[in-house]
Amino acid sequence: MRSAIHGGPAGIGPAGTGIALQRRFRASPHRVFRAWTEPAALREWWCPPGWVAGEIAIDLRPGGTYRIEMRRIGGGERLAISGRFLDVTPPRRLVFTWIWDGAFAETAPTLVTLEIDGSPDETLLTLRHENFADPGTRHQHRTGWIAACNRLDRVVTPVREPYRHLTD
Amino acid sequence: MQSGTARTRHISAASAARSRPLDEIFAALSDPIRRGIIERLAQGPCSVTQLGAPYGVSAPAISKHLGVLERSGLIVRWKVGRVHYCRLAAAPLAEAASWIERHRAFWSRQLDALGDYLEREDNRCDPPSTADRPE
Repeated sequence: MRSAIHGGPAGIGPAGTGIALQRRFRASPHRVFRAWTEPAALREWWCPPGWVAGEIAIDLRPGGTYRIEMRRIGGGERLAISGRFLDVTPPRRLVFTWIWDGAFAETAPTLVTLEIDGSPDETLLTLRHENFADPGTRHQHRTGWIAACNRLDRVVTPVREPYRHLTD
Repeated sequence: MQSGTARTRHISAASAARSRPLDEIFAALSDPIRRGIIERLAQGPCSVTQLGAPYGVSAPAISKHLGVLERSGLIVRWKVGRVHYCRLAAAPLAEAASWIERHRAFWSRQLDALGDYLEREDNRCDPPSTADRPE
């Protein structure tokens, strides 16, 4: 996965302003696209163990909004992700803004881009999560700060706590 | 303590980290010279003159970069006599590294879960071609 982070011929664009992951699936691009965009499918895979999907609302069109709620099983904790679709091109591309509600509240929306490529049997999914949701800002900062941050990991201690309750 | 005439400029790194939006931090890190400065400061505090030396750019240009880093809360500048110094403020960097680390771990898990889901679906829809797989 990390090998895909810095782009190259695999299709990670020049933006490179956030994390990027690539994964192959034994499924068609259509199935992968549906898994991301249909509430019934999202319920099946989106929530980590110990969590269950609450309300899922998806208005799948450019400019449409989405919201996915998660509830901790047997507890009152709730999390939600919401945002707006910027590009909806089934089954090849899905771009949406991303805002954590609740525990991970962030200062500004970030941007997630899914690029889905493949054959009926196999799909290559490229997922980018960038820190600048605003296209203007993103354009200005189109350089690879991630390499620096990777090096800086050595001199700072990443804080992992915010996700602890998603993994236990 | 410094003498009363030495002007000092300090910001509280903790309060800066609280109030600076993450995107300002990432924006500050988006320039190669500024990243170089950060990496140099990771080794310890340094005078501004020493900091600028490797880049062959003018003092005002370096000063501009330092201004960006300072506003993002990534560095702290102060002055002793006529010498300007800088040091790293760790909190915002940790915040940026934490964002990357958290989201990488999050998406990695999500993609694992998506892969599992697609395989489960496969088993449900298609006649099994191999021995039973665990549900």
